[in-house]
Amino acid sequence: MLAINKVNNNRVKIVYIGILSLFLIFVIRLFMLQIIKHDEYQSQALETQLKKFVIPAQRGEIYLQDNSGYTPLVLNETKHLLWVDPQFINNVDYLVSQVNPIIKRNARDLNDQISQSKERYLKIADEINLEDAQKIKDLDLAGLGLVEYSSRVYPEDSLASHVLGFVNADGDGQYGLEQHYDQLIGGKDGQFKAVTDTNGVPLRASDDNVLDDPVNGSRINLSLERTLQSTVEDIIESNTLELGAKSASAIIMNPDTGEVVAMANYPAFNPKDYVKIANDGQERVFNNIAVDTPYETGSVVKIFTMATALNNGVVRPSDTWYDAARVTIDDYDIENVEGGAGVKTIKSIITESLNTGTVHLLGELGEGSINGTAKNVLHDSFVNNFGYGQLTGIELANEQIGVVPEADNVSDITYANMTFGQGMTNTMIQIASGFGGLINGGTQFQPTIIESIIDEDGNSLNTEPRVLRENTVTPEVSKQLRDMLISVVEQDYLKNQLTRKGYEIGGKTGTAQVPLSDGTYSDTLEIGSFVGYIDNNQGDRYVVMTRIDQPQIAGYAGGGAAAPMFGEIAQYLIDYYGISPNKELLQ
Amino acid sequence: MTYRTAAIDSASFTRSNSSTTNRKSNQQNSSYNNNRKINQQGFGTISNFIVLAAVIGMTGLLYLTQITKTSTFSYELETLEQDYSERLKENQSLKIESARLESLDRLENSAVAGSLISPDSSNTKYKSN
Repeated sequence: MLAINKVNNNRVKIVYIGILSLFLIFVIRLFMLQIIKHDEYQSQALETQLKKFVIPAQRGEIYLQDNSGYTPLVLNETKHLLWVDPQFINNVDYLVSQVNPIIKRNARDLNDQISQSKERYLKIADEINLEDAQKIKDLDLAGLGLVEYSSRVYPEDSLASHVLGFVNADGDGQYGLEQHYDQLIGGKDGQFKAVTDTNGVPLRASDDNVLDDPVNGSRINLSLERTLQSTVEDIIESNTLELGAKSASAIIMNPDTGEVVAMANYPAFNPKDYVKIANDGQERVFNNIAVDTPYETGSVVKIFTMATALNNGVVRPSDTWYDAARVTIDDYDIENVEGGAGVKTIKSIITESLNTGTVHLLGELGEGSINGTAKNVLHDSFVNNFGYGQLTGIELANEQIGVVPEADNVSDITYANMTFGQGMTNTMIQIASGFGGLINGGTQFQPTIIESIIDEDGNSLNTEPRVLRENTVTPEVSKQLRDMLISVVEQDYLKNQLTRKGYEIGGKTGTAQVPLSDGTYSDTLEIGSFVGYIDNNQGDRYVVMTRIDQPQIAGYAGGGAAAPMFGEIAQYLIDYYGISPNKELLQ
Repeated sequence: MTYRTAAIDSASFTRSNSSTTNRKSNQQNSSYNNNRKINQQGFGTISNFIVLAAVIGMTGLLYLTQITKTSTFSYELETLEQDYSERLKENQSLKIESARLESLDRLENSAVAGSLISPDSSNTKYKSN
């Protein structure tokens, strides 16, 4: 009996020890797994449980001015891309019959595309709106998938397209404002790293979740005025078409703030069609000629040469000089377009647009001859006083600086040509901006198309007018220049189109021959420009610049095509803004 | 041997005497000990284990309830956020529709605009300052 008990006791002990050992092994194993290798396994587990969700930042909307406040120019819309996985589709015919009425494609093409595809991910439609996307979801068909994305919408179609630019498929701003302010408008995507359930639905309450909120793009309110912008676009379009020109551009700017209230180019484009335009090889239409295309502006530069001469005190408007009607420099003859030799006033250099006259002014800057001093003074004035060869800083991509030859080691003929706008290039915005300083008493403001920028928290960024240059001319010289500019528009061939009782209107024409690829100038092709201003001398004034490329007209492109465009725009501007006439000017 | 017995008896006697003199108090002690035994039987090892298990169970249950509640709220939150997102998209669409309806092209081509007459600027009179 005792022996049996002893055997049983031993067995119990063995089982006991066995269980204890097993338990000990479990404990050790668990200790290894949960304590020693805790971090390693936890990170492995999180890798499968944690998913990263990108929270896309909303691109900032763009508005322009309107009588009622602001009106939307660019908004965002949620669109969908529809894809299929042919491996999951049992009945292609059925799928096509269900889907095609929504996406409206050719049923046979769609059927063939799906049937013949060897890809697992086949895009069959995009630009699907919210309503249609819901209809597709409701079909609940296997093998169909929707991908959501944000797309830019342009309620006003092509209005101000060159100012806006567009956003490409990667979400990057291209051209215009969209490119210049890509980061500011684009914002910054956020992310949400979350533990998910088996269906991939994020479980919000977890210590392992990481949430970085997106920073939405800022809203931009443009200084452009909707109706004015639209009308200017209509005017330059009709002029281009009527005159058989290649293109036309116009800018309206407030010279006392630098605010651009209209900036237009023709041909324009609808930003939503940028892919088609690019595929057709028409990318040049994206260029904002007013900002990114420097050209020889011709005689509009004469007013800047005159400003330099007056500001340096080398001539007075009433002074006289003998015009030989031809000047020979470095074996090149410079002649006037019209008019013969004779004694003329300094003022007539602008009124009659005398090439020989501006060459005379250059000589006066060199105390009687075209020398290093004359060239340096002119170069310094063009660059430092009027901003030639420098960016204006307008908030548009691809602004160009143009070319202003250095004074040293450049021939006299180059500088003689520069005095009347040839041999150097400028952009329209440079000319308009510099011209603003000439007529407002000598303060050049930075041109801007921004009225305000508002971030997602409602904070407004500083967009106060910024002075680029002060004392570009003295107030007295400014007045003298205005008198000369008024006398230009009061000539018979411009008076009817450009003047209006009660308002001070002045300007300068410019006609430049189109440079050819062999370095010579075309005898028949011209670019016409006009830069001018309207002022009621009661606080309301605007600078307007127009440009027309190769109009098919008998006269000169500046006076015959660009000036009438200025006239149309100026008349509308007065009516639209209701700029009241000045009593004294009504007399 | 006798001596040993006597000694025992003597000890018994002594204890007996002592018992006799302290009977009352012994009775009281006995009663206290009995009560103590009863108490020890009521909250013994098993009882303690059960109570402990119940407490642990309840705590676990409470924890699970909280976790379940959190998960439920998490799903509700997800649903609400999706709903909010949908409403935002609808709002976006309506805003676009409104902007399209108010676009210049549409206004210019509207029947109202078509019936407007352009003013003759040469006959326009301004109130001068």
